[in-house]
Amino acid sequence: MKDLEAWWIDFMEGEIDPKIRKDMQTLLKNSRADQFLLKEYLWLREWIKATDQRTEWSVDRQKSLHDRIMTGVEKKVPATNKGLTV
Amino acid sequence: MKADLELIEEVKHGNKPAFSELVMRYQKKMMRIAFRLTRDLNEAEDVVQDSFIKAYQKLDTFEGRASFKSWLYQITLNTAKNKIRSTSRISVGTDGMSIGVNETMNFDLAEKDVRESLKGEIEKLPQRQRLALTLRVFDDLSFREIAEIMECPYDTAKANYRHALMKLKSKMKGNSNYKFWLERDERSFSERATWATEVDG
Repeated sequence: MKDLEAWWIDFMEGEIDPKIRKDMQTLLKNSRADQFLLKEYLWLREWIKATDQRTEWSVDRQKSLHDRIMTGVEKKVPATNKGLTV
Repeated sequence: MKADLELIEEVKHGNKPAFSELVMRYQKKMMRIAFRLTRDLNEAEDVVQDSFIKAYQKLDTFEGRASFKSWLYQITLNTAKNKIRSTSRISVGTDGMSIGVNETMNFDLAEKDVRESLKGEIEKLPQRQRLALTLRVFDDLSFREIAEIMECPYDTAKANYRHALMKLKSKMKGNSNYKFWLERDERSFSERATWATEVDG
């Protein structure tokens, strides 16, 4: 069962070998059990995505961070100037 | 738009505006990762700032075998973990956090329960499984990129992801609200099958 679940996860993620993809699509059309199994994983994936903790990050803050980074970089010597081989 | 490698070469030859272009290109993505780990906007910005400066100083060590994006992600993850360790955070409260998590959406209790349960189960996953899962689902990274960031073979990255999903499916089966939402789905399955085959194609 675990192997079958792994196959459907790969199918969902677009990681299935094209040679067997068509066979799996046929299986999907004819097997309610496999339909339900794939559905469970599709649903789970959507729920997981919905738990992502996003943040409001204003354009002003983005610009401010960019400027701070470039100020920090100004003070540093570029890697190649240290005489290190690339 | 110049490719990353082209910009990197310019930076190595002293062209700092080229680095500015790389910062603008990746700082949002790095902020997402940093915020997910630190759960604090100010700390996340510190992590991203430190990460970019480290990257600038270490550009000579970037050999181009992995993508620059993967390399930056690695630096960000390590910097964030070090930051969390150094601040000895045990639990993170929500005071003072400026989070916009679907603020306009109305949650009913059942839906909220599922989200909280799932978040809890994700936190309990082994670290590498959790990392593979979050990089794939939240950041839409390819398994090749995930393997580069995790410094493991491609198949190992996929295996970690699969194991994470299978474990979560097994755990959530015990949540009655989750089962309710699963059974309540009224969209025809053919829609989902079409979506799945489009993803596959």
